[in-house]
Amino acid sequence: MKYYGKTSLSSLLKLMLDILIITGFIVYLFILIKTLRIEQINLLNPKNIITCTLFVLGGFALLCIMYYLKCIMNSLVKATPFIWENVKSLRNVAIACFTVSACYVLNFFINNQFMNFKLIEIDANGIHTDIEFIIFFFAGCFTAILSKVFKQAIEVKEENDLTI
Amino acid sequence: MAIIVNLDVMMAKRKINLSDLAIRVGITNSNLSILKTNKAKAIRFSTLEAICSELKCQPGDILEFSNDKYIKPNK
Repeated sequence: MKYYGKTSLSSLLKLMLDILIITGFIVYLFILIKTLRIEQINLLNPKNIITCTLFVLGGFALLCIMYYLKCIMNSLVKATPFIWENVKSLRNVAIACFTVSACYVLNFFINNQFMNFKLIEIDANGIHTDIEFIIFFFAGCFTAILSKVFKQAIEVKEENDLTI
Repeated sequence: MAIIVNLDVMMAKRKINLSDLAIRVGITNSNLSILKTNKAKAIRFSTLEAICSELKCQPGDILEFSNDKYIKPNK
């Protein structure tokens, strides 16, 4: 299986991310409009303002994650993964992951969901978990480390390219 | 960079142009140009050997160290 280049897993992933970004943006806007207009929530309530802000921030961060991953996939399709733009993209993905994790945690406390916190639970309706914030936190840490690894790889590559 | 490459001086002395030297040494024009314009970060001994062989000179004839441009690395 080809992992990068034309007609590879990277090109398939890029296509899937394109679809996800468009549908995600439409669904995000729809939920926002539905919440603000149709359900007419009371925006004078500070708790509702904070919840809406967290939703906007978290949703925007998720779209950023998909956008920067798409940029990285673009470079993989061109078979040039070690470029400075990918270092910036990975760093931005890490920041977005931390933002999503923070939004989860804040929502947890603001909407008193900590009382019903369950690490993992299995019942008649299936498996449930409240640990999404941990997943995003670890994803952010790993992506930040990967950004530094890419930076070092590019420095070694440039040194090699300029060795005659 | 404190190492100065005086390749153009030696090429003028031997009356050889960049393209001919690149073909004889076995490297691309762009790589030889990078070397000539002091943009290279390193040179392989095999390349240096080939250049000295074609230009009939010593490594010291094409490489020079300038103390003025030397920046001591921070450790």
